[in-house]
Parts: sequence; C-alpha cells; structure tokens
Amino acid sequence: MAESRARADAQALVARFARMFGALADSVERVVRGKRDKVELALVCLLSEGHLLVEDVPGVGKTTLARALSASVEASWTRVQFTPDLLPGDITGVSIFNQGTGAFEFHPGPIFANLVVADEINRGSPKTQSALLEVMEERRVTVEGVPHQVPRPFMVIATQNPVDMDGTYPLPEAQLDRFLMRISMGYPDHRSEIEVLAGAPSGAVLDTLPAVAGRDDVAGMIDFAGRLHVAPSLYDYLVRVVAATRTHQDVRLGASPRASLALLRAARVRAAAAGRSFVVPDDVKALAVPVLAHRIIVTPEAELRGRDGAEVVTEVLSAVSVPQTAGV
Amino acid sequence: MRSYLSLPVTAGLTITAGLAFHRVFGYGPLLPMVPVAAVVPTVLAALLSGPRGSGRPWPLWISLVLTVCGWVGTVAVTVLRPALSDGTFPAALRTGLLDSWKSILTTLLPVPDRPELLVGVHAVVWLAAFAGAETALRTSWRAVACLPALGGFVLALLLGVDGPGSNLPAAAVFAGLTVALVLVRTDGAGLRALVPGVPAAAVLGALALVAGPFVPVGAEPYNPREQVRAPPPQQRDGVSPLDRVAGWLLVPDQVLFTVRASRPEVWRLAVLDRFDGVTWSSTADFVPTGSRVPRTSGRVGRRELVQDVAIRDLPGVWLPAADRPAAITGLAVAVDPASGVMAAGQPLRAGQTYRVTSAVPQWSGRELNTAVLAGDAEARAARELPWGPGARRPPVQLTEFGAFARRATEGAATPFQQAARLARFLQGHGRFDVTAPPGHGYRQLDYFLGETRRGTPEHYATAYAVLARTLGLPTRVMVGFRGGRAAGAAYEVRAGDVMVWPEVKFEGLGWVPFDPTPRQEGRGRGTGDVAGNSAQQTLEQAQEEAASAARESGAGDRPAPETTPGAAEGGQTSPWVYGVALLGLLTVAYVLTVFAVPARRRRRRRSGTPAVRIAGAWQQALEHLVDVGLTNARTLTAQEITRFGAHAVGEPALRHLHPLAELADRGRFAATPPDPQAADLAWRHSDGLGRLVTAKAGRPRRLLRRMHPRTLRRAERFHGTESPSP
Repeated sequence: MAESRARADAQALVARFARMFGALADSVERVVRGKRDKVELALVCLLSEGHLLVEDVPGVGKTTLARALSASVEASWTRVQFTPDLLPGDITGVSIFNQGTGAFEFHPGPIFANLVVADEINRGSPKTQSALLEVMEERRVTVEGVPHQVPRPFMVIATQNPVDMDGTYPLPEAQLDRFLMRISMGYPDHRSEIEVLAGAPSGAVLDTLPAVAGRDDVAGMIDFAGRLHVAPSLYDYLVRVVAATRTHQDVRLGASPRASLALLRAARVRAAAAGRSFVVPDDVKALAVPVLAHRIIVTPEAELRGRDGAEVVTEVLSAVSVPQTAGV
Repeated sequence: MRSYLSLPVTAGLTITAGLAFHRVFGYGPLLPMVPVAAVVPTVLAALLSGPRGSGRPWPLWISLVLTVCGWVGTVAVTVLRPALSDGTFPAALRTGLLDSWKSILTTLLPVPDRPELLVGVHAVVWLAAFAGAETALRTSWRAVACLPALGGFVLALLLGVDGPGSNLPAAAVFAGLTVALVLVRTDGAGLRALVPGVPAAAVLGALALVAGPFVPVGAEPYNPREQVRAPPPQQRDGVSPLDRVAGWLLVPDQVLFTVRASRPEVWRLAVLDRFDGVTWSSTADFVPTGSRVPRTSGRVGRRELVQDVAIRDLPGVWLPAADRPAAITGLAVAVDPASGVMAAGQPLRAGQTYRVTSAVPQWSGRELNTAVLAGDAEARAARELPWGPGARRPPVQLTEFGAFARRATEGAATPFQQAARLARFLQGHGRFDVTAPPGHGYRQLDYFLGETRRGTPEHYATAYAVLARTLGLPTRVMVGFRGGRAAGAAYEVRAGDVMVWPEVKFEGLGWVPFDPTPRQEGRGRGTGDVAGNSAQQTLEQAQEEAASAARESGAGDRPAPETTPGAAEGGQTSPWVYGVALLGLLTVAYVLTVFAVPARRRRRRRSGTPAVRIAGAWQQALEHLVDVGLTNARTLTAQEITRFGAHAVGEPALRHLHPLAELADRGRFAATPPDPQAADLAWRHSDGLGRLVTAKAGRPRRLLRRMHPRTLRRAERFHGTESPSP
C-alpha cells in the first residue's frame, strides 16, 4: 500500500514538473518562434543548473531567448557585451572605498543575476573570459579574498559568432567544458519567419511576458530532477557512450567525466519533462550531441575531412548498444 | 534431500563409465574394482557435505584432501595390494598414474590386467565419482553432475576403440541414468517444463539409434593409438631372418622349435615387404599386445588351429606361428596388426613356450582363378622397385627383369595366372643349391637369373618378388618353416625346414603364397610337409591349373588389371545413398529445431515475473519486426524501434508499439517493478503487432524467415548483450 502511494506521489510530482516545463517552453516560444527544440534544450540546461553556449550568426534570436527565459521564470537577467578592453572587474564587480564609512564596499558586477547573457564571449580577452571560470563552476565570485555567492538559479548564456573570427579569442577547452550544452539557433523556417515579421517581438512584448514560474519553483524543479531514478544499466550505457568518444579514431581529445555528469543531469531533466520518473536511453541519445559535441577535439586530419564533434557523437550513438533485458 | 537422492544416480553413472573400460581390460578385472571406486568417494562426499556446527558443509578443499587420502588407501588395499606387501607401492603408484596410459595406448586390446595398468582407470573412476557427487551436493544444476562421469565414459570410448565388444548398451544405460538424474533433481514446475522436450528427444534418439550405424563417417572412428608409435622392427633384431636362411640350410638337422598342433602348417616367421634395391626389410609397425591379434579384412574362409610352440634353438625375436594369429598367450609379445607377424620383447631363449590360436585362410580354386589384384596403399607399396641406395638413374637390370618376366608369363590371362606362371617358370628352370652365395640385390639377381639359376629359397623368392613387381603384381617376401617332422604329439621344426616364399596380394583374398623354389634333391614330402595339408594342396592345384591354362590359351601379354576399393564394393550400397539419407535426416532435424527452439523461447518469455514477461513481449515484438526488415536493434532505443515499426508496418502499428515500448522502458529502467496487468497488456500489444506484421509481410515470407538459422540464435545476440537491469 505504501509503495503504491509513493508511486502515485512520484507520478504526481513528475506530472507537475512536466506541466511547468511545458508552460515555460510555451511562454518562451511566444517570443522565439519555430524553435521549440532549442527552447526546450535551453530549459533543460537551466533546470540542470548548467550553462548554455549559443553559437550562431547575429540576428537569429540568441539574446531574445535569454530575455524570454528570464522573463518566464521571473528572474533577474543582465547582459554583458564582451569586447577586447572589457576587464574582469567589469563582470565580477569591484571594491570601492567608502569615505563615509571609511571601509571598502563591494559593488557587485553584472554576473550577480539569475541569467547572464555573455554576448560575443569570444571577443573578450582570455583574462576576462577566465573571470567566468570560477563562477560558472562554483557559483561564487571571490573578490579580494572574499567569496560572494551568485543567486539561484544561475545560468550563463554565452553567444559567439562562428563566422566573423577576426580579433576574437577562441574559448579554451577548460571553459568550453564548463558549458553544459552548445546549441545553434539556426535560421527560422519560412513560416516562422513570416510570423516573426507579422508580430515582431518588441521590448514591450518581452517586458509584458507573464512569469510562468517563480525562482523558488525553478529551484524546486532543479532539486526534483536531480533525484530522478536512473537504472544501473543506464549509468553503464552513458559511460560507454562517453568512453567511446575518447577511443574514436577521429578524436584527439574526448569527453571528460564532467561531461558524463552533465549528460546525466540533463537526461534526468529531459525525462522529468517528458513526464517520466525514470531515465531511458532516448534521453541520453537526444542530449548527447548538444552536451558532448563541443567538448570533443577532433584530429587535424579529421578536421580537414570536414568532420566535427557532432558527427563523432552521432557515430558513437549508432555504434554503442543500448541496454536490453537479456536472457529471454 | 533431492541432492542426496542424486548420489546413487551419480554413482551409477560412474560405474557405467568405469565398466565402459571393458573394451580395454575385459569385464574380469573391472567388475570387482569399479563399484568400489565409485561408491566409496560418493559416500565420502555425502558424509562431508553434512552440516557442521555452523550449519554449512565442509569446505571443498577438505573434501579434496580427504578423497585423495581415501583413494590412496583404497588403491593400496585393493588394486596394488601385492605392491604394498613387497614395498614397491610408491613406485607402482607413480608408474600406474603416469605411465599406464602410454602402455594402454601402445598395447593391442584387451591389455593384460596388470595392477599398474588398472591404477589409472581406478583413479579416473574415483575422481569422476567424487566430482559428480560434490557437484550434485553443492550445486542446484540439474544435469551438470553427470559431466564427470561423461568425461570418464568418453575416455573409455577413446581408449577402447579397436577393442573387442561394444559400448552401445553402456551408452544407453548412461543416457537413461542421465535422464534419471535430471528427473531426480527437478521440482514439479521444472518437470512440466521438461515434458515438451521429451518427444523431440525420443524422436532424435530413435533416429540416431536407427540411422547411426549406416552413417559412413562412423566406419573409421578416431583412434588415439594411431598417434603413438612403437619402435621400428630394425631395433628388435639386428639380423634379418632372410640373412639367416643360408646358415640354417647348412645345418638342416638343428631343431629350432617344436609345435604341438592338430595338423602341420607353414609356420610364418617374418614378413619382408620393403625392397631398397639391395636388401629386403620389414615395415612392420609393432604394438605390444596382451593376447589379442587384430583380425585382417577380407572375405576368405578360415579354419582355426591351436599351436603350442616350444622354443629350442631359434635365434632372434621373431615368433613362428601359422597365418593368421588371432590370440597368443604365454609370452609378452608385440604384433604388427597389418601382417599379424609377432615378435618377442627380448631375444628368444630355449625353453620358452607360448600358445597361438590362428585362423588359417582357406582359398577355393574359383576364388583364386577369378581374383583381381589389390589396389590399396599396402599393395601400391608392394609394387615399388627403388633404384637402389644412392642411385641417380634406374639400374639397367630392371628392363631385363621386365622382359624376362613378360616372357615367363606369356599367355597369362589373369593376374593369378601371371603369378602362378612365373612361379612355375622359376621352379622349372632352376636348381636348389645350398652352396649358392647369398644376396638378393639387383646384381646378384641378374647373375642368378642370367647365369646360374642355382640357389636357395632366398634367391628364388626374392627373384620372384622383383620379377612380379616389374609386372605390377604387389609382392612381398616371407620367411618361415615347413610343418616339420612328426615327433610324438608334436612336430619338430628343423633349420632345414626353412622356407622363403613370395606372396601376391589379391583383392578380398589377401596375400596368397606362391612357391617358386625347385624341389631340393633327396628331400621328399613327409607327413609334416605342408604339401600334405589339404588347404595347401588346393592352393597348389589352383596354381598348377592356372599355370597350365596360361600355357594352353596362348593369350598375348596383357597388363595386370588393378582394382580400386570402390570397384570391389560394387554390390554394396553407394555412399551417395548414405549421403542423401544423412542429408534428409539433418534437414528433418533442422526443421524440427528451427520451429521448436523459437516456440520454446516464446513459452519461456511468457512466464516469470511481470518485468520478465514485459521484456519477453518486447523481444517477441522485435522478432516480429525482423519480418519487415529490422536487421539490428542492438543500438536502437525503444522509441527509435517504434518509429521504425510505424514506418515499416504502417501507422496502425503505433497503437501497439508505442504503449509496448513505454511498458518495456518502464520494466527495464523504472525504480518500481511493473504489475501483472502491465505484463498482460504488453503481451496483448505484442500479439497485436504480430498480426499486423503477418498481414503486412505475408505468411509465406514469415515462414521463410522462420526457417532462417538466425531464429536459433539467442535473443540477446540480436537485440543486445547487456546485463538485465534490476
């Protein structure tokens, strides 16, 4: 009896999670048209407490996505435009001497928001980029030896333009590894672009976008997804997928154990979003490319052949066997 | 309790395996030994498996140590009791364990029941009984406990190949006891699961029993003895018997041995079948024997003769006996299975006696007249005429010998006539002369045939053999003695009775002797002469008639026809018939299996816990989808397979595949186990999908696919190899 009640409770919680996830996605999609899959990936990233790297040409809705997300979850958001002369203190904040009190006071930078849009992150100097390292991983900023916690939820949505690379500083591997996902918005399809033209989202629309969930709701969803059941065979499958990226013939550097953890977190959120209280191989497969591809460095020979991380992950997924029930 | 009930069965299996060694030793020494060797370790294992103070059985290593001690003690008071009393027990034990197998493999069966030879079998039976009992007591496997005894049984079969008797009844008993073991170790539910397999097993068993003896491949079983070689005969006797002939003829009254037998025969001593251009030697491959001498093939009638031989002054290691020995007692001897010639392990000494039972061949005149030459490997080797040691071109004498032989056999119409004509020619154109210098190389023979034509049986027999080989007749040289002179109840065989004669091999008749040696002046045919033997008279009469017929017919020179074994078996069933029958049998067995295995698999999938049943329903659905092109689901998730099914079968399949995939995922990956209703639902969807696939693919196509060997593969090989999720 107790077991069936627990099962019913779990199912109810999962259903609530899925409902809120759907409502959030619907809300964001009111502004970002025709990109349901990208919106859902961004939400998965948010609820996995990860950071999102959006790699695309200008004008396809990267910033709009971040603004719509922040508006939907009733969260604070800031935008930092990365330029070569941007300093780390411009992001993290500075301590200024207060003549009235006779002491230094910390003035938080734009990083102290729930959603931080780091626009054209690859235009910032390596020193400035590295200022994000600590906060992205540990969710705190240390200024003059004093740690300062960032609010929860916290998510960095960084964008970069893959075409215009002059005067840019490519993100180092250590920083790429800290982004849970890398996605590409892509151009909208014909119909969606017409809809955009007919009802272009203006600042006013974004400002009036109703909040679907509060910050506490989002924190609760994050905690719930982290407790979702994962079968041992799924752990095995996930590790085999990640391990296969390390032994692939076209790969110089495969995905790290941090990638395994990230994929697991994201798979849990996707499972809950689908109304399931358990993870299935489909969750792993659906998220493997956005989570793993940007962490893989292919060999120069493979690069010359036009191969990239996404192709490698796709190949790996088609070669690694999914868990089955044996013996019947 | 079921484990303890298994012990009598495992002991019975081990006793059956031990008694299967009867083809090696005979039943005599095995009957008192094997039951003890099987029962004692079984009882020991039963006692040691009882609960200790901790409620658990004794550790296996204690059982192992105690059973080794028990075996040594049992062997000491049973098989090796004599060695225990004279203090040679350790050496006998070591010899028995390490060397007995080699001795058994190099001895013609049945081997003598010497204790050191029985120790190895005792150890095997003991070990099999112990392992079987421990397996039955410590595991819950049903049939695994029969494997140790099966190993012993297989060993007995291997060692007993070529032995007398049959192990077919033992195999039947073994199979019955194995079934009994499975039944004893199976509970009620398991018994019901076994029931469907019984008819199939019975049908296959009956087919194997009926058709097995007709399978041609069973005619030549693997014989481990062929891997073991005895020392070559040259190492047994430094002097060829052929070289002793001249010396014996110079002391004709020296008594070499006596034979007590019901009638005189030609006592064969040695076979010389290899000629290197200078000397004749033997290619005999000697094997020690307990008593038996293997039979030879052929369809010749035989007459038994028992001979008690007492050695007087016969030198060397060769033992005289009438052709063809069937058994020998009284001496440790080695036998060449091909020729039946016997040799002692040590040079003969005066006073040694032995008894030989021979089956003397009896040819009829008709058989001889219609005989065709043998074409087997032995016959081919007996046609060879090497150029001589170190010779780089053929000796010039060979051409002359060929012309001589053709002239001598002119007019012969059959191989037998050729052989008889050649013997008659040499007999009629030469003289017996004991003073002729010995030697049988090409030069000596050329001198003998071209100049003197005076010589001993050595010259005539070796000349005949070379001439016959130039004609293509497979020929060898024999050394032996005439029947001897009657002296009381025995026949005294003297040195002057020595004979050397050629033999020609005919298909089905074996080696037929010819006598090309002229009569020795002053030596008539006595009562002991072989000429007085009716069988020998028949042979000589046939040869005489053949030689005369050849002279009268005046037929031209004809090549000797050669037969092949296949042609000689023209009246027998063709191997094609066996092949077709075997193919049919295999086809029936395959069809039965290809339908039975998936059916059994489906039944198994429908039973078990709800999670297992759901997984079974999913596997069944995957097999359905194979019929519409699903080739490898190993890397596909349930949802991907669902999409494939919708594409291949049509949208209606989604009604079944989608919920079934969800149930399968829930059964495999959810934290809570599914309920029985979910399992029932999964199977309804799986069956519904099967009906849709049948409608889509068509029954003939599904039937063809079911005939594919792939259906016999285990499911996880096709669908994935991972461990089941808990």
